[in-house]
Amino acid sequence: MSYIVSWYWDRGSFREKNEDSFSLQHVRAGGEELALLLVCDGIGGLPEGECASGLAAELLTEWFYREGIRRMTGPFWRRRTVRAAKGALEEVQEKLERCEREEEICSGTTCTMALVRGNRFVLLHLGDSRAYRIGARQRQLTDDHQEGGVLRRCLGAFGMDEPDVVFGRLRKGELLLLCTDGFCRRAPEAYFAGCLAGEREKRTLYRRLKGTGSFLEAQGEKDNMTAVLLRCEGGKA
Amino acid sequence: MGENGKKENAGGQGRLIGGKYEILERLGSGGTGSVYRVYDKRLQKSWAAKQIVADRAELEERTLARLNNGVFARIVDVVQEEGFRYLIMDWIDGETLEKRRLRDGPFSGREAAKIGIGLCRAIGTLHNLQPPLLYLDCKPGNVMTDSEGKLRLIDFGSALELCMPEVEPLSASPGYAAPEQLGQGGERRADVRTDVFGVGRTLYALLTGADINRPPYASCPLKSRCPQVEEDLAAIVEKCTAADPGERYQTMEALEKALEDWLAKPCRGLKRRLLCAAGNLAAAGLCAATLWQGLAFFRAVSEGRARVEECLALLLETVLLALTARCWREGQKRRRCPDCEPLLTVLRTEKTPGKWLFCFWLAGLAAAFGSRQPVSAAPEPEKPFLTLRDSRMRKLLVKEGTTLRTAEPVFLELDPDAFFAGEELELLVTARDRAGRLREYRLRYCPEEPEGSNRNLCIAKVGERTYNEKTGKQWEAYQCTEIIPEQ
Repeated sequence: MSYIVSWYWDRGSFREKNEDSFSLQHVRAGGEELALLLVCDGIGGLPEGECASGLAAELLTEWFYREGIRRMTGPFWRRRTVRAAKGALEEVQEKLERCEREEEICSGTTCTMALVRGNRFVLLHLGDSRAYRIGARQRQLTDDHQEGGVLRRCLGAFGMDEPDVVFGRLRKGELLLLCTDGFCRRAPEAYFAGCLAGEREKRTLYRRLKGTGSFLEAQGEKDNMTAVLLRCEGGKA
Repeated sequence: MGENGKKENAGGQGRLIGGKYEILERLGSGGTGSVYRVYDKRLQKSWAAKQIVADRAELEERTLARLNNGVFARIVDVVQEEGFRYLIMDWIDGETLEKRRLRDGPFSGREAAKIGIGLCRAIGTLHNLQPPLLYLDCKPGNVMTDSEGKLRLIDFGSALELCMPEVEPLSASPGYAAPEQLGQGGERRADVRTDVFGVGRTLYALLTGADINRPPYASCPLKSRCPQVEEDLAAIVEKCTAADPGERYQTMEALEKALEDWLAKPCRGLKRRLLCAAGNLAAAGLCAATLWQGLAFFRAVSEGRARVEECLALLLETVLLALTARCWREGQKRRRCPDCEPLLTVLRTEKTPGKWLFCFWLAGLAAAFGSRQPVSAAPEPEKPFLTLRDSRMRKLLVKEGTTLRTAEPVFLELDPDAFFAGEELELLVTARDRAGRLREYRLRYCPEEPEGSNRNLCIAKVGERTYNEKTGKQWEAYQCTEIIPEQ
């Protein structure tokens, strides 16, 4: 089983800083390829959004190498990995709360994380970033945790709710796309399926992502845009 | 102290410290302060000046004042100026191991082992003081080799006395800090084995030539990341960096001895492999013999001719087999992490390096991947004076630039400390009602209303001032009771 991975990260035209952070880690361990896909969107309008999202991305990446790979290469890996990942999210939450206590900076971030081994993956999700499975059709795997423009669940000084957990499987040639709301808000229905499915090379995948970003900007999107993509090259058809 | 090389920052050049030390160049800055090279015109000599915030200086001063041997820089003067203390120390003409690693790549096994022995002796000296001192910041950037090739330790900003109550937070350089130093698995703590971990990670970085502050950090076993490293040496490094302090070398002397033994017998790896193979063969033989004996015994039982001696022999062999299996399992425990080969590592963030300093320690230098370094010190961010809450007083997280749609009252929580008493603040609220009409409301807020004022207050105070125990702040709750639309 092998993967092709790609990413896109753009500040947009509205914000002074890119408050999105992401992490893409593709490793080979125990004879198998594993991947971590992670997008975090700092809450706009609150201070230090880029710090909250960056901190979450750094800590979860460090967790992946420290413990995540070991969990993912063991037996019953999905449930064990989810349990360990929830612990890592709680650590991030504790750090952000500590920042609020000590530095009086109240901030937060969304977090959508996918851990992929073989053709199976687990998703942990908090916030309004999204994950899609793209093959012949485009299927949104996560719910938006917001009502009427108000974010209801996230990591941050406001408290943390239990993340949504999704178990899934990819067929050969299917894509797993994680993106922040700036990348998907103005995308038409099934746009990603038409644009990204069928691309087999890393270079063309990146060009497609970049082209999507330009298209969304032309549609009026001004927010930060981040997308992380994995294409499964093997497994059951 | 200092290192040869180009100037990192010319900040403060020419300025005098204490009226007598002229700043020549700024060498760098770390978690506890900046370091300068200064020139003493009276003595016509260079010194190193470490700038520390005054209230944190005492411990590092006390630490350095107790050290008086060739390994550590001496303090020759202390200057208090503008809220900082400057420790004037010996200037060490040399370079750090970090600089050598960046320039030359991986170190050879023998050279790394010699450096390891030097570190063990230096840090062992600290551990043998009364009270013992923990270094807690061993990394290539804090180890210098001077012009004579001697090892020198620098930066005692993280040092702690062993008998001190825990200092929160315990300082830690990402990638080199032990799990207990970061508080993984419980509260933060440190002892001599924490320094053993730091030496192990330093050797890992030197042998691989990698920056272990970046993914994949030091997660891959040394032997898989750097196959040319001798197996015995890799085993020593792995033992130093065991997650459980009980599995590491318990003292610097033990680690020093292990490294010296390895240096003395570099071909030991082959002998160990042969011994392992012999052990495995013996275990396999014992297993086969037990199985054969067991089959023979049960056959004898079924034929009614079993004897007590045979039964006891079988029992003994079973016990021996169980012990062997236990030993084998213990040996397997050492392999904590499967072989890990990074294929692609990308981490992008615009988090400012150094922001939320203790988090920066923990999270590592991932910001170096793609973050944008600030050209000058970033201005202090403004704290929000306004918070939105729903009818249950829960904070509403609303993205800037988005529309808030709600059928419930929205409460505006204002921080009275953000305003001057008696001054008036006007808030403009724009809303679209159900019929689609755009309405504007001006809300006036004054933390302390002067007597006799005659103004149309749109906000009424609800309840008394409440005290937020979490932040230690006092809050006043206001509710819109009367809205006067703009005419």
